[in-house]
Amino acid sequence: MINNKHLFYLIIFTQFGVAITSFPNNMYKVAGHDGWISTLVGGMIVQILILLYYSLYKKFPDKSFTDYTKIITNPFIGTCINICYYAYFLYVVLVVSMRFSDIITIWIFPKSPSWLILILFLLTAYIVAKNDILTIARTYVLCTFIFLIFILFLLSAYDNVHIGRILPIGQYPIKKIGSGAYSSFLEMLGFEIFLFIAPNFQDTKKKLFTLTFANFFTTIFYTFIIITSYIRLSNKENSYIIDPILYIFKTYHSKMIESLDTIFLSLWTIVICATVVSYIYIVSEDVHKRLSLIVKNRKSILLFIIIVVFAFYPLVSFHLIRRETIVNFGSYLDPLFIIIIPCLLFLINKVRGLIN
Amino acid sequence: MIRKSIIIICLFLFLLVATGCWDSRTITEKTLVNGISIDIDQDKKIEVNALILDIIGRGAGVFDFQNESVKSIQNSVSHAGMEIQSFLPGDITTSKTRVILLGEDFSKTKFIHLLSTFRRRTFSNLNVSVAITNKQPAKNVLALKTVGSKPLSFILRDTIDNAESTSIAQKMELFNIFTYSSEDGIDFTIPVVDVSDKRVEVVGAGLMHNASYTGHFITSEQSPVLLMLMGKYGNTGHFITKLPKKYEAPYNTISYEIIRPRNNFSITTSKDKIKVNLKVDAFVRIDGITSIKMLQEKEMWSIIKKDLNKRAKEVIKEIQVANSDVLGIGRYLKEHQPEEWRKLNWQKEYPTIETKPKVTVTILSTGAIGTESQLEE
Repeated sequence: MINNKHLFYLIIFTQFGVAITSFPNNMYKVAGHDGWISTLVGGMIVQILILLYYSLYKKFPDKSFTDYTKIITNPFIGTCINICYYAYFLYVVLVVSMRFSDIITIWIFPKSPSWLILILFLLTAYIVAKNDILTIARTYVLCTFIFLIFILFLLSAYDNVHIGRILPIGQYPIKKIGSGAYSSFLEMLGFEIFLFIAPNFQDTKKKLFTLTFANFFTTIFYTFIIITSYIRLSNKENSYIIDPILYIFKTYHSKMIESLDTIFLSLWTIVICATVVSYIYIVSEDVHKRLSLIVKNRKSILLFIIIVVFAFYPLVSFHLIRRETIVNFGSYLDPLFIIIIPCLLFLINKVRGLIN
Repeated sequence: MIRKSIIIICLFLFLLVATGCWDSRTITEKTLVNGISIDIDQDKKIEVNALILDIIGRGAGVFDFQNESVKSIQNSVSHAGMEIQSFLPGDITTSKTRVILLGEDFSKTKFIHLLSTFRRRTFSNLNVSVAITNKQPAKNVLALKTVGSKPLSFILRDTIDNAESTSIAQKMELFNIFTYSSEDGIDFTIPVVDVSDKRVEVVGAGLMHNASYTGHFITSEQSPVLLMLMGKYGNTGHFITKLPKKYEAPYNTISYEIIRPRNNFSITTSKDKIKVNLKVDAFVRIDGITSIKMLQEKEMWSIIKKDLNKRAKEVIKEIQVANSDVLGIGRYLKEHQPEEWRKLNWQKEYPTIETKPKVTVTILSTGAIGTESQLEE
């Protein structure tokens, strides 16, 4: 059973992940130097969705999202939707772990084989995810210091900033800022786990407040990161350096400490891992609940998941599937699973309520 | 219990075996490049000279070093690096490089593109000091190898650091150069070094335009004034002003340092005319007055003020002749008046704009001796 504090940490650890290092670059490509406005707007989109999710949750408290897909539609369609969700979460895990092994290969271990990095990464995720949700949440609480270190490292960049680089504000057309808001919203995914861990909630009040606060924290933090990058690097650099945050850390230098990028990545690995842990926990827990008659042990499901994810590695490393194809696939999946399906369920439920 | 401990031992061994063993590189196997000079010749070939420090242990914590210089002429910097690698044992690494010297000809090219390997490879050092060699290829300076008993690159780095803190040169490391040169409407300066009498010294701040060296530099006497106008002042800066004619030489100098100057500029645009008003508040600490005659504080103040204003005008004139917008006026226009900026052809416009510097002086202290200290004879 988890309380509000745990819920807060579960959500922010799932929202922050591997995308953070390249976030300013991605945003610059879409919305130019007004990307930070887009981030704030993106936070608002997340807030709207949280309100929607919350009203779904209120309708069926103590039930998981996978339960009410069945209740709202019918058991067969519900099961199909659920299987799609499992596949989608596995896809997210795949993308995150691929990107992780890429970053580690580029920035820390260029000669180590990436399959090994991937195995170590997934193994760590397995060890954490096999525990119950309370243990996972407590692990996250314990790792919060990483965010403090991250903020400290980001402050080190303020040695060489020129605030004018984000001026003139609002130069880009609203359309671009809007599409920037959409892509920043995609980077902030992770709050949807709220619906899936709902059965584990303690009966506490102020859930909506906790969710809003988590979203507020994430939005402000993302905005802080993007503004730091925008005022520290020139506009052109933001458009072509893939990982601006790591680049900024790399340029820091003092007598005591050097290459902050390596230190940061070794700590941030935990947060990236947390994203994967949350997703594989949800999938394994849910599948276990459905198939408890066939599979007695949740660990075996977890292992199976990890093997499935790892099985995609040879396909990518032998260039049978292009990495971009896999990543671009997400631009169709994300809106479908995060916005469209929950919205449809909500509407169907509303309409049914009206008819009855 | 036994099963658990076996798992733990296995995991531990696995970690020991697996973490980064492909990437472990011991320092003895590395060849540390600590100074690089880059030149371009007439056939557009790049000549790279690298100073390599061999550390030889003599036991009991005593180390000897041997300074070796290697050379390669190739089509690009990374190509030259590969050639150097081919005849040197061990992994050459630029992660501890202290200084990069650019030859005068090389620095007049669009050199940041030629140096892109430093930025692309994540294992090279971006905190390296960069300097331009004055009217000579950079290899001439690197050929010194040692200054006194210390390796050249260590001395050079210290000299440049010192020049930065005494405001002779702007603080510019490689990553700063990459950032500034990819930005519109602002130029920057790079320290210019020269060899005299087997010593290296920073002779001034080299003015850049569109990310290449203009050939003009502000001498080390004037450059603290320039940095003051730019707002890139270091920790301190030393100035010497000559007293007017009625004071006889050699009893006619006043030396002082300026700390934490404040600057701001206002730009007015009206009908194709851009006027810039630069205001600088200088806080002065008097270090020495050699005059025999009585010098009132007010007099002191007005002499310093007059001299600083005169120097500021000279500096402004010089940077406009070099067409180097180190003050960032173009960037200011771009950020605050984007409509105006789009109409301008800044390259042509900049030398013609009217820039008025105004330095105000506040004397903070006169040291241990009072303000009206000099004895009248």
